Formats: sequence, C-alpha cells, structure tokens
Amino acid sequence: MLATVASFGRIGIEGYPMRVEVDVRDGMPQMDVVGLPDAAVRESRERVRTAMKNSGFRFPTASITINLAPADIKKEGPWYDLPMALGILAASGVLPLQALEGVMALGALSLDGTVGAVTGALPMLIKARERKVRRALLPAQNARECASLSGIELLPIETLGQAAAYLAGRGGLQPLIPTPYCAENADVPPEVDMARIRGQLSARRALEIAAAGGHNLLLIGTAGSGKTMLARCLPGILPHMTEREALETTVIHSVTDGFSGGLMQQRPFSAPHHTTSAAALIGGGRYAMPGEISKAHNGVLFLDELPEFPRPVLEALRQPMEDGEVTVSRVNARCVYPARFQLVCAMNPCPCGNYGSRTRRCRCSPHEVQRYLSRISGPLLDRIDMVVEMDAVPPEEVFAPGAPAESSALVRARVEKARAVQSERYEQMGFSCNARLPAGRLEQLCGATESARALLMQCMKSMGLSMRAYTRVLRVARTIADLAGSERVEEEHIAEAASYRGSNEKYWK
Amino acid sequence: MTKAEGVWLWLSMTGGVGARTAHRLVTFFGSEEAVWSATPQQLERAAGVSLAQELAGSRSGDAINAHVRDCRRAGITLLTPASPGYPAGLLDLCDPPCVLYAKGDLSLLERDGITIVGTRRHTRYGERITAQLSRELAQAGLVVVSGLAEGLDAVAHRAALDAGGGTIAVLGNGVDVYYPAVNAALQDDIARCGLLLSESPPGKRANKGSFPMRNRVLAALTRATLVTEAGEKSGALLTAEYAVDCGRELFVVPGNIDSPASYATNRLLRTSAEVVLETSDVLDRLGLAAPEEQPAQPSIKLDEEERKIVQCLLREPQSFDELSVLTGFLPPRLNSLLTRLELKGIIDQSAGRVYAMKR
Repeated sequence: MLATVASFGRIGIEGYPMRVEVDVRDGMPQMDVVGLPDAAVRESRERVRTAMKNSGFRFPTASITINLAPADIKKEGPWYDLPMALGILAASGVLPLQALEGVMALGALSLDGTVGAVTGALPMLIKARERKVRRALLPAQNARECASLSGIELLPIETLGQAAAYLAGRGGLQPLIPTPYCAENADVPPEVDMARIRGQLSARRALEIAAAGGHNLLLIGTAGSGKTMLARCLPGILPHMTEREALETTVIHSVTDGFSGGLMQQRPFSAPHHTTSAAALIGGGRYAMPGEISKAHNGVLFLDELPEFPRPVLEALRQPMEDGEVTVSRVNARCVYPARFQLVCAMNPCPCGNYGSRTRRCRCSPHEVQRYLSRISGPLLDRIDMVVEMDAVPPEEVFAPGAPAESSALVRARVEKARAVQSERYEQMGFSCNARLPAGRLEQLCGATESARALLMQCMKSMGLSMRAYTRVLRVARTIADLAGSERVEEEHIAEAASYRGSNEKYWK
Repeated sequence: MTKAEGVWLWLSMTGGVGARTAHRLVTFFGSEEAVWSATPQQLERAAGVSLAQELAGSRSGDAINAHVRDCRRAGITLLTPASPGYPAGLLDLCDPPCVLYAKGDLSLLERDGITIVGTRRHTRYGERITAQLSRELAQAGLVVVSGLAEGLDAVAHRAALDAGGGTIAVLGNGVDVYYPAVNAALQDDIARCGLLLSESPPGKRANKGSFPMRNRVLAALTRATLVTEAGEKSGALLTAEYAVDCGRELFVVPGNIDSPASYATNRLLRTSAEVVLETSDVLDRLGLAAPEEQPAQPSIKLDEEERKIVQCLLREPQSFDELSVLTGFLPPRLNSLLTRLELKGIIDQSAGRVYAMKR
C-alpha cells in the first residue's frame, strides 16, 4: 500500500514543500530510501525501525520503499524521521490513510521514540502556511520559535506514540495558541545599559545619532577607553524590531543556530573575531549557509580591532553593505540572504594603542601609525558615516560618586521618535532611514536651508572635505535635525555633523 | 663647468674616496688640475695602491661630462668647492662636501639662514612652537634650513613656505628621490619655491650613514642652529653637536622637564645652548632686526558662547568631555560650537578629540 506524508525541506532560509512517499509491499524484508538523501537521511532507516519498535509498534516484515520528492533536490538532516515513520504506519494499515490529509510532519526521532528538534523549522513552517497547510506536527522543542505564526494549526509533539495516537483520532494534542509578536513585550533590559558608561559625552552623543539614523560608526580610541562597551550599548537604544524584522532575523538564527527561544526580541549583535574568514563573515560552506553579516541582519555587526581583519575580508563587506543582501553560491546551493546591518567598527589609533592619549605615551613611529591606519581601505571608510574618538576616562572619574548617566531606555525613546519621522518621510521610497538615503536624492530630500548649505561649503573648503565626505556630513546632519524635531537642516545641525566627520582627515591624510 | 669643478665631481664619483680624502688629495697636489694630471705613481704615493687604482679607473672626462649633462637636463645644478656659488660656511667643516646637487632657487644660499631641526616623534607643543618660530624667523628674512624628515623638520619647512619665506631642505638621498614618502608634496613645493640640496647624486637612495652626513651640512650651512624638541636619541642632537663643533650658535627651546620629547633639549640648555623664549632671542643674538610689527590680524568676532570655550582653551588644551564640564554646554551644542571655532581658524583638534588654540 502507498502512503504520502507532506513535509517541508529548506535550502538556505527558503522552505520548499516535499512529500515523503512510502510504499509497503510483500517481498524480501528491506527498506530503501531514494530521492537524493544524504548520509543523515539514509541513517533514518535504523532510527525509524528502532523508534517504532520502542514505541510499541510492529515494524512491518515487508519490502519498504521510501521516496523523498521532489527527487532532484539533495535532502539533508534527520528531519524526515517522523514523516517516514508515520508513512510506514499508514502504508502498513496501522493508521487510516485519510488521517494524513492536510497534515504535515517534521521531526527527528531518537531510538526511544522521542521527537527531537530540527534546525530551521521556522522558514519551513512559514512556507507551509503560505501553501495553506492546515495542521503541522512539529517537535515540541521547536514550538516556541514558531509560536508567533497564526493561520496554521501547530501541534507540538513529544513522542512518535503521541503523533500516531492523534492521527488515529484519539486526540491528546493541544494546538499551540499563537502568541503574536508585540514590540512592547520586547522591553527586556539591554545587555549593557548606557547608564553604566561614565563620561564619554562625545561618544554617547555620536552613538545616539548613529542609532537614530542607522549610520555606520567607527570608534577610534586608546586601549581601554570603552569602545567595546559602547558598541554593545547600541542594540539597546535601537528602535524595537517590527514583527516583520523580528521574523526575518529569527529565520536566519533558526537556520544557523538551530532552535531558539521564540522570536528574537533584541536586535542581534554579531561580533566576529578578527581571524574570521571571508566565508564565515559573508556566508558559505557546503550548503551556502548564512554568515555573520546575515546573523546581524536588522541589528549590529561589530568589528573590533578593525585593522587586524584581513583586507580581503573587509573588502568583501562592501557589496552587501551597498545592497542590504548577499548572494552566496556553492556547489550544492545558491542562496540570497538578507544582510541589512548597522556596522560598528572599533580600532586603536596605532599599534601600541596610545597615540593621542593624554596620559600614556605612544611608542610608535609616525610611519608605524600610518601603516597601521592604511590597512583600512578608502572605499570602506567611505561607507562609514561617523567617526568618534575616545580616550580612557581616568579611574578617579569612573568611581566618582554622582548621578548615573542617562539610561538606554531614555535614549531609545528619542531614537524611536526620530526614526518615526524618517519612516514617514521616506514612505514608499524603498528605504527607511537617513543612512540609506541615496546620494542622488540627498539634496532633494534633506531640506537644508540656504545658510546651512553655505556653512557646509565653508566646511568643505577649510576642512578639505571630499565630495564623499560632503554627502556623509549631510546625511548625519539630517539625522541630527530629526532628533531635534526640526523639519529643515539648519546651520547648527551641519556644524555638529561636521564634528563627527572629522577624524577621517586627521588620521588618514 | 670648469676643469676644477670636474675634478671635484670625479673625486666624488670615485668609490672609496670620501670628502676628507678628496680634500687631502687636492691639498697634497696643490690644485684640482694637478690631481687630474697626476701620474699613477704619484697617486699611489698620495692615496695608496687601491685608491690609486680606483681613481685611475674612474678618470674619464666623458663619464663626468655625461653626468653633468644628465643633471642639467633634470634641472639640477652642481656646486663644488671650486664653484663660485658654493656655500662658504661649509668650508668650516673638516670634510666639506665635494659636490652638492641643488635643485631650486640658488639665491637662497646667499642669504642668512637658520637651521631648525627637531624630533620626528614630537608633541603638540613641539609642533606648535616649531611652526611659530619658523614662521616668524622666515618673516624676519632668514632662510629656514632643515632636513625634510618626518615630524618637526617638515613642520618647519611648511611654516616657512606658508609665511612666504625661503627654505632649504638638505637631503640624505638624491634630490629626485622622495623620502620620506609622506613628505613628497612638501618636497615638490620646496623644489619649486625653495631649494633642495644633497650630497648624493640623483637617483641615490639614502642609507644608514647618509643622515649623519646630511646633518653636518645642515649645521655648517647656516650661522645658527635651533633645536625645538628632541628626545633622548633624536638625530637632531647630532646636528646640534656639529653646530657647536663648527662654532655656530646653538639655540634650544625649553620644554616640560617631565616630557620625554624634551629630554635632550632641556639637557642641551644645561650645557651649551642659548635658551629661546621668543623669536627676538634668536634675532638679537644674530644681530638682526625684528621685522616690522605685522599689521594686527583682523579681529575675529566671537559670540558669548564661543568666547567661553576660547577662555577654557587659553590655559591649556582640553578634551571634549573636559570642555563640556567646564563650560556646561551639552554635547550637541558643544559639537556645533567647536566646529564653528574650527572654521574660524581659532582652534584645532588632534587625535583623541583634544582641542587647542591654534596659536
């Protein structure tokens, strides 16, 4: 007899529908799996046989053929154990065939019949919902990650026995009640609160502007000046994710990290080490998996010790930064991953880390400083809107009594307001924040006053700003105006924006 | 090119013959021409077997003429002790250069000059003072001579050029070799508006020994040497030593006693140098008149808030955070005020966002 169980597979972060077709007939007792299974899928035979026996079912003494359709896509992972087991039960007459209609199943089996989690369940179930699948049997461990999906009945299961009992009409399963995503629920305290940062007034302000406009940021500072801590504050002051953003981000993490605890509520903060390879950063591997930049999608990519990154790795960042997505092609797959991240880089001003410090002496020669700085290419610098310089706060100031600094929550409130103004202004234009304002439409959209424009011209002349720096200053000035609630960009805003352009020219002559 | 000049050129181009040997040979034979026409036996007696062979091997009128032609084509003038334009001060050395390759304005050699040198790893203070002294001395009519090294040398050249004064750079490599590369633009500017001098032929790169040699020329070329900032092992100290050996005035700018960048300059003050607190200290000593009072710069209008910041910076440089605390301005306002002051040319910022008055 032939039974078909619906299931889903995925390539990268895209789910695709597939069928597990099971045929059980008299003949030599054997079990064959066809349809481009990889080693993990082929091993399903042993797991399914043992799990069925240990769940109290009789494994049919018959010739079993299992086809994973469509047969031209390579199947990976142990996720089809459950559909295979259910198919065998239906094909051997233990379960009624019609019980499988409108149901999809996903899950790995352990030898005792327990259903184990699958990686990337979320994208598969999103596809299932699109394909109008009514009910889905999924491992209980994946339940939280998918709980926000409505429009599909999710049935978390713990064991093969439970699933079989349910399909046989004996009930026993509670459908998951969808818990819609709600930004306010996401108000968990940030990992690092800005209230903990002492001093660093210039850098705090820069971080707020960067958050408000989505600007890429470069922190240059002596060793121990708090660059990393400041960067870690950024996710906590960025606006809450929308449901769509949360879903996009969780899908990627679902695929790379396996099952997660529900929809992500904090924006991701990805901080790859500087020995990371280009493939790990951009995406790659046998199955073209997402890289760090995609894990930072809708969040922050933090590159500490920027000059230590190999140059090809940094250069590889340029195209995804421009496009907001990256195409990863490998032998087995070709995937497009979203990668709209805010880049924060940190670096020492020189190899010894003390150049420009007022308390410690730099041991580097001018030549060494220049060589260190020149490891960062001009084109990458051009994509960084703001440069902030930091020096260590003296210890007596760090431990001085006094009112704590402003908390992340207060800063975030201002940032959200400024972002709201931007998304209204750029509605229907295909971007949502000032940092993504295309240079071509900058003049038209930034709304600078005559005197502001004149001041910017003066800056260009006396500070020797390039045309690229001009657009950077204007973008940042637009954000400052949005923070101030000003409709037009005034002189004041240009002047402040220019104070964060600057070090580019100071360090990179 | 006279015969005598050709002989100096020949001697400078002969391997193993340094400036000292060349002068000894000329003195031994009585004149340049006598060296040229000396027989191999005479040369052997004067210089030893191996040098005599070298000299005989390189004694080719054609090669010398070709070299002169190449230099002339590249706009490079050759100065030898036999040339009328050869700087007289160099003859105070025990080993005056046999040839100086010069590119630029030769008339600068006839004017009074001052050698200004300093460390490559300077502080903000050193940079500010060097620029100020160089500018004012150039305005007083002195030609500023330095070594075109990174750091304070470059600052001195640049300030003199910006003030419209004359400047001479003495190099350790050929005048057409850009070294250090960061000063390439400055080197071009000096070739155009000032003078480049070198003992090395065009195309020759510097080696370890060429900078000390260059320093003796630096010291001897002018009547006085001014060291603005030098740490313990700075090359500027060698120049100072040569200056004293040649009987030149040595001026030194004092620094903080705990500043490593002023370690050596402060110690020079204790032993041999004149202290410089203002430009007139140098000019008086050299018997030169201070320039006419410059017409007061058009005063720059500052508003109340800007004045508050300037007042804080007059005492000493301040970081952004310190300024914010001292003036009570919040970061957004302070950012924009600082940019305005920077645009007005009153203050500038350095690494670490430290602001200082420009003068």
